[in-house]
Amino acid sequence: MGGPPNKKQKREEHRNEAKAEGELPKKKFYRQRAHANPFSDHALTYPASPSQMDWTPHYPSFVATKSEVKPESDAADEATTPRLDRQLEIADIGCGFGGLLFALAPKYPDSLILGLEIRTSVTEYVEQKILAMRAQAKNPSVQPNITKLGPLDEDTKPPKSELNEDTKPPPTNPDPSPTAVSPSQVPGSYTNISVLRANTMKFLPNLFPPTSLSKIFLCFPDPHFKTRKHKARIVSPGLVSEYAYVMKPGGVAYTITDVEDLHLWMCSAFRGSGGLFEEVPGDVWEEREGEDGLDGGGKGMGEAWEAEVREDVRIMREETEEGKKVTRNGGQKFVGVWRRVADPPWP
Amino acid sequence: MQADVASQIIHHPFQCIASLEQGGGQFLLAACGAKLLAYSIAGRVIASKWCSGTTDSIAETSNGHANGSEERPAKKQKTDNKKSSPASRIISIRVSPDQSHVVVVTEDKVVHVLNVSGVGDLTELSQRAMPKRPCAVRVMPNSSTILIGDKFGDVYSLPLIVSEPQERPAQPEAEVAKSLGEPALFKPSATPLTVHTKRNLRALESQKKQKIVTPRKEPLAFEHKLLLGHVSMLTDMVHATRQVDGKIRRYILTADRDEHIRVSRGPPQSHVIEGYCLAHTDFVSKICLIPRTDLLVSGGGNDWLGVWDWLRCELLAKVDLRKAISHLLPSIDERIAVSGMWVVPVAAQTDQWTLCVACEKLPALIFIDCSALEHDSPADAAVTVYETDEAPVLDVAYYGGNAGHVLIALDDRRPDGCRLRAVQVTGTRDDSKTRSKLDISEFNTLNAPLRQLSASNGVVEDDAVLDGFLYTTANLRKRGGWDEDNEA
Repeated sequence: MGGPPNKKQKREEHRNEAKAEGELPKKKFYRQRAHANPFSDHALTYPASPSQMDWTPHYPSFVATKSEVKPESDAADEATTPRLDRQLEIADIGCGFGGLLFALAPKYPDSLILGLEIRTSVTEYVEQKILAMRAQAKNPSVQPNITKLGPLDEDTKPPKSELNEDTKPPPTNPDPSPTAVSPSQVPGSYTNISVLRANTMKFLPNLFPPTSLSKIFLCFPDPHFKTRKHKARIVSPGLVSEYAYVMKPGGVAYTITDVEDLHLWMCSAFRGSGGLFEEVPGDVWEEREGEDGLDGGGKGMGEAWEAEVREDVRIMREETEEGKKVTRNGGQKFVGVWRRVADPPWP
Repeated sequence: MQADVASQIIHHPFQCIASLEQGGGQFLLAACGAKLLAYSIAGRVIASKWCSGTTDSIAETSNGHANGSEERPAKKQKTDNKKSSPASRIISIRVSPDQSHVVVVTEDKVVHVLNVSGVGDLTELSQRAMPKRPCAVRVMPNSSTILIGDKFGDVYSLPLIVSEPQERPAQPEAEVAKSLGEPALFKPSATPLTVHTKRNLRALESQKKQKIVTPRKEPLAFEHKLLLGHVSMLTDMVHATRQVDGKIRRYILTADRDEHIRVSRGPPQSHVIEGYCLAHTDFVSKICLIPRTDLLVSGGGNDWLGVWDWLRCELLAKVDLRKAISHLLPSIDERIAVSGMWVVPVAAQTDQWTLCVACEKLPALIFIDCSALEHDSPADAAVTVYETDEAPVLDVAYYGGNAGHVLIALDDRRPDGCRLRAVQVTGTRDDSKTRSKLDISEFNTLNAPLRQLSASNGVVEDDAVLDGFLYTTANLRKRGGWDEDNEA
């Protein structure tokens, strides 16, 4: 059901017009129906296997130099596929307009983060926005709409200067807005995030090798209210196995929804995973008084790990587009945090 | 290929076959439309018949080999109303490893379990209707569990024998009573706080006033377990065991329409994925384990067969199918769809096996010596193409263990056509290069009675309808160009 023709026209005009460097795309031109059928054959491109996926266009700042490429990759396709200097670590499945991505980027400047979205035009928006944000971070003198800059990190980590040799701190910031931190200070300069159009319900194992991801976010998924449609939910008993397969032991899967029924369904799917995931109880990740920020670090179950989980949950609650919408609407947010446990021993 | 035959009489081929050993005798099970024949190979007679239609099955079994009632089920199944046509065509036959039961799946998604007596009598023990069309059916080695993979990508396990047929668990009944007692209001999962648009809010308001008209579809009323799920149509499934440190490890390997071959642990840990065999760029329709090895062969919409070390999920080689059968393809860009793969024994050899591959609508069966696949360069394995006189191969079975009699069901619709053929793989002969080729010869003592069997069991059918029923593999191919913009 396309709208009136001039709407379509405006969209095309907006997308085709030459944009100034760092100009953010306008969301209204990229909106798309919120539902996609995960069972149908979308015109998707995906690699036959993870070793054939070329991530270098997604993360140009993290391309491995020749010497870093492991020599043992002997298969033909592996030898020819360009490599990154590290593995992707965080996946936001169903990233929508990418709110979480932009919030996570400066938190984990050394981790590669990927947003996955099935809707073409929404993916395109996120692509454009990432490019714009990278440009802004690279060259802070072009900041057409600095106030719109998404998550601003209060952390004062220095930017990864070795990633962008061109990035030199500007001599003077022309008009530094008092609240905004100069994007040149955004750790990672958004070079560590990217977006891919994909149907993860079908092709997750094509994209990620086993035990590679340390975090998966499943934020405000399509609730698929009808019982008949429950198989189309992004968390289901069958898919929990696949999430477990691509995750490292110790990795964390996060779920959030404003639909209680869906929350209970997702919980039962993770709980029924036969010991592949264990629930991280709410007292670990519920926000505590007088604590803000963290400095990443520990992957164990210690204090640092708990603080990191807590921060992730906070970001997921507050920074996702849908999360903000639910807050505006006064809705409830149901959070689930699941820790990947090692495969059980054979019986 | 049936163009020369006038359109008057078209005979239904045997779409699935299987072999079975009972009471010291060999039986061939052959499905013809909705009917299943048990044919005694030694006695050269039809031992019994069974029809998936409840009313017909009684008549059929009591009449024994009455030929007069032949056309009744055929006529019935043409009426499209499900209720008035209980006879549904058979889409799969599996014999339990202990040879005592046959699992028959019909087009109406019903799983029938039949008992086989020592003289080949078939008696239906149970009928279970699955929620989605079963695409892959296996009986576990213990002969007590059936695995069923369906069109929705789910794999269920069911006990072979339904323990207490009529006794239902008390819980659903109580629920039914409850829902009858109070005129329950539909309780939507959404709240005014979860939906955002005005239209959604309005819909929610009206939903709240709505009474539950259709009661929730009752979950499967028989014992079953959901083992694993793909978000894709399941196409094939095999079960494997390995012994590690004196313990048996079970595996389930599943293939789907979206190019995946998944290696999962067997029950009760089927939720643990051990790996994926990924390399196909088109659907995978068939997977087949090579006995005594860790090899798995996969085939589908690609021009090659994948040879895998399935325990390590490593592709060892691609066997070029197109090269082997190019002379049989109607045109150079004709696409290949592997519709069947079977392992059959080489005659008079202990534990020597050959892989048979059928491609949809291709009038030939491809034989590959399994020992060649084990060697260093499986891609060079010699391929022997056995042509079947214009009739495409529908199914393959073998009987007699190592004696190696291979039965091939062919889509020959001529009245005097040969719908079943017996051949023997009589070992390898050395080719000029070190490659070995297989000798395949017709097994004459059986071919005459098989011809008779096929001639007497024809069913009148419509050519196009029959094509639609028999040839579904190529439909697994994705039709490109479709995108979400077309989605309403």
